[in-house]
Amino acid sequence: MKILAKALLSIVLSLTACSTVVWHQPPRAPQQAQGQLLIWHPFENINARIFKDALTEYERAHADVHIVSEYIPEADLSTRFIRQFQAGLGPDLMIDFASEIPALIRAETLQALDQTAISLSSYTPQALTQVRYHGDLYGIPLNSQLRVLCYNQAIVEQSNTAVKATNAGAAHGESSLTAPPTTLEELIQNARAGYSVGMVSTFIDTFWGIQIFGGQLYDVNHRLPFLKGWGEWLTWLRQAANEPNIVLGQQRFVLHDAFTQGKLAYYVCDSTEVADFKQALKDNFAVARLPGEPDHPAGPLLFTRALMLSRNASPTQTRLAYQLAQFLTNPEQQIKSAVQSQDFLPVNPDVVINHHVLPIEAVLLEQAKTSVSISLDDLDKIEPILDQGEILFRQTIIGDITPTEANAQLIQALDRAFDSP
Amino acid sequence: MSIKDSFQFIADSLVKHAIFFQRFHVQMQLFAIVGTIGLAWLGARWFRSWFSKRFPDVPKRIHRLEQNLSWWHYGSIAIHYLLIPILSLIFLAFVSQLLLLQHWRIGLLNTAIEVLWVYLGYRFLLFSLYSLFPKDIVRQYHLRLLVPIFVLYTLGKVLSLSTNLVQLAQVVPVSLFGSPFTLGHLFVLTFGLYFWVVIVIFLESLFVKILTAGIHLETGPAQATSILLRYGLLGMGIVLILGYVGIKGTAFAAITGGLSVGIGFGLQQVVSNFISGILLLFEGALRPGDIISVEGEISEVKRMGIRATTVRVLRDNSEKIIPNQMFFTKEVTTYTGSDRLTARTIQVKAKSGSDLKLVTDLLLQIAAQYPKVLSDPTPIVSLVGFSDSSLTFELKFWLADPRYDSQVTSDISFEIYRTFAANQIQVS
Repeated sequence: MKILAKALLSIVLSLTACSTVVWHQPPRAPQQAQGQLLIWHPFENINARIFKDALTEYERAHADVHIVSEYIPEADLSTRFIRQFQAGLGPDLMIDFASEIPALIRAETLQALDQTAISLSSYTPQALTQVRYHGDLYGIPLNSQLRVLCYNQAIVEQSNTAVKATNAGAAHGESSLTAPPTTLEELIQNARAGYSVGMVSTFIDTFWGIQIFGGQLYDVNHRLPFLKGWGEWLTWLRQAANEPNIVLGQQRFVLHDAFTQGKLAYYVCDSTEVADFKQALKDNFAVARLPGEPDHPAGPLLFTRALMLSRNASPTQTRLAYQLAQFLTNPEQQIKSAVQSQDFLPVNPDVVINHHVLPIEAVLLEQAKTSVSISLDDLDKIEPILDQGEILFRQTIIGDITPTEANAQLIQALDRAFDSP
Repeated sequence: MSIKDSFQFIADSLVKHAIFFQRFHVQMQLFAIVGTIGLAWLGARWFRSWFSKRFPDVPKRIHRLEQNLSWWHYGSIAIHYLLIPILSLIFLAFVSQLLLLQHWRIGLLNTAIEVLWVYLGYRFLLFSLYSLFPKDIVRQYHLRLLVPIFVLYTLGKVLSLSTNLVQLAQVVPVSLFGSPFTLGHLFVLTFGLYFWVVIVIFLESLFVKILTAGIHLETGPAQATSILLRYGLLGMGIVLILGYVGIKGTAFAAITGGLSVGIGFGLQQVVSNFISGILLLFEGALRPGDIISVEGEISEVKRMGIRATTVRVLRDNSEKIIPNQMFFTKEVTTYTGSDRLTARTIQVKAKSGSDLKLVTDLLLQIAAQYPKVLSDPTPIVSLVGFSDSSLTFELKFWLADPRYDSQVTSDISFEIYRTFAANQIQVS
């Protein structure tokens, strides 16, 4: 009842004052934040709780601000946002993957943000490149996600104990089995030694290996697409698929369940799966950087979630949204989210994570340094290439075409896409 | 969703809608919708007024639709009936195009147009039904079924614009029998039950019509069967809905078990009548249309309910509601148990010395000439007594319907008196 009374009071206050506040009042100073904000988010379970806690903390600091957050399934977010926007409804602020921004801009739903109102140095360049479109900023990065090597410490430590007990294993090069593999060769050795490895077998999920073979999405000038290492990576994958303990599967949930049940020692996971694994495997769960080569580390794709502002938001709500976004991305909040969720990859470069206190987060941050971030400006052209890559990937894995042919076809497709005006 | 979360959800929904109503584009669209519909209403009103002056004899209201109207009449009524949605649609389409040119939002207008199309279809359906079928029957369907369906559709459409109906259905305002009782449950329990009752009533009337008109079954058994069908279907519906709502069988049984003691004492009579009603219907000893004698009054059974039976007293046309239990505890005479034949007797005293044959013939002739007296079994005249001063005759005849007993007896008595006078037979 207390909640209802508060809600009714805020409605009465807003209806009596809303229009004039929105359109005629002079701008308030940032510390006098006041108003209501509707946010859509895709967070579930623990992440939803962490997000709501952050909002509550913000409301506590700003007594005149009321924030209503609504969970919307991730798959529906942008379509529902566009539909509601066209009716004048929908949220003021939405959290979704930055890759949705071009479609939302085309639907004329997003506000271009005032870059002078935001401290851009609070965000990593990699994250910013995913929210900047044709020079304008359309989102405020919140967190990122990427692929990383998840492993079951219980299984790896068993091996460690066994090696120590026999003391002969080390002499035969088994020392590499006592720690997560750092190279592709070590990964194969682990598989041959009986440690099962799971990998989701799609173009995007295996993108991380291209960089190991010298391939890059961007050249040194960060312009031309360059993917020549893909063929060699495909060849390695095809060989790896023949190893009895390496499982390449298209269904993520199958591998996810297998790892949760302790059937896999290593699994190339998405960082959003970390919370589930931590809950299931407790202290036996750990993450490591993806295997690579000393000069050519693995380069997983980086995906950024961003706060986007609806064009339906009033100037007051826009100001409020800027403040809230900066609150959610300040180092303190980002660390708090990281500590609570363990799969939260901060976008604020000022966030310093102690490896001993937050080992998982530290690894995620390390992995992010070598990740590949597709800029939003290139996304329209690269998306069809990713689709094409997926088709060629499948054809190669089942043996319809050779890795060399697949690589040549993909590079042709890239050249066509980027040469065209 | 817990009760606390439910309150939070409702509070958040209220704030969310307050945010929406603050938005310029929402305000503009609502203004456009209300304005255009208002304009359409005024336009239709003006047209009707002009039309009435120009064609004063043409009916305009759908309730005055007669079966044998000309196409011109049908057309004019259709225009009157469909004018508001048609004009609203035209105006709204025009306004939405204008707003679109200004790059304003028109999602709400599009929804309003969608609802108006459905409304137009709904009005057209009603017009067709009123044109083709008897008005009284259509009016029942119209008010009890079609109006609630359309209102629910519109409400659902409007709510779904800004609210997740699935989530709204999960809101738990209270807990019942240890189970969360959600708004979805409340909806099914009220509207589901309402629609079930309405559909059962329509099915029942359809069933009775088929039985009486289609296979010429007597009204009594048909009505008894339909009552059993009604209560059976209603009971089934209630059980299914309670099951869907999730009221736990064990909790329900425990509570009803506890209540049954109270019911046993406090509502003994009601329960007794209820059971008697079911027994009466199954036994078939009494049926609507039966003529019975209750407490000395000849009455016709009008309706048999599950608790009481309504009879019409033939003497003064009043109606009595008799608890069903009474039919099992008191003696009731039925004139229509195995057939509806009723024998009546009239005693006449002729002066001693009258011609026996003449009196007998006259009495038989009077009975034979009266239309409501059956020829088979044939009327009988008996000499039932004599004395020094008089001869007592008894005329016995049969009627097909006991309801006419008093009237026939009176008419025949009048006729006897008149005929005897004409034939100079003295009555003592």
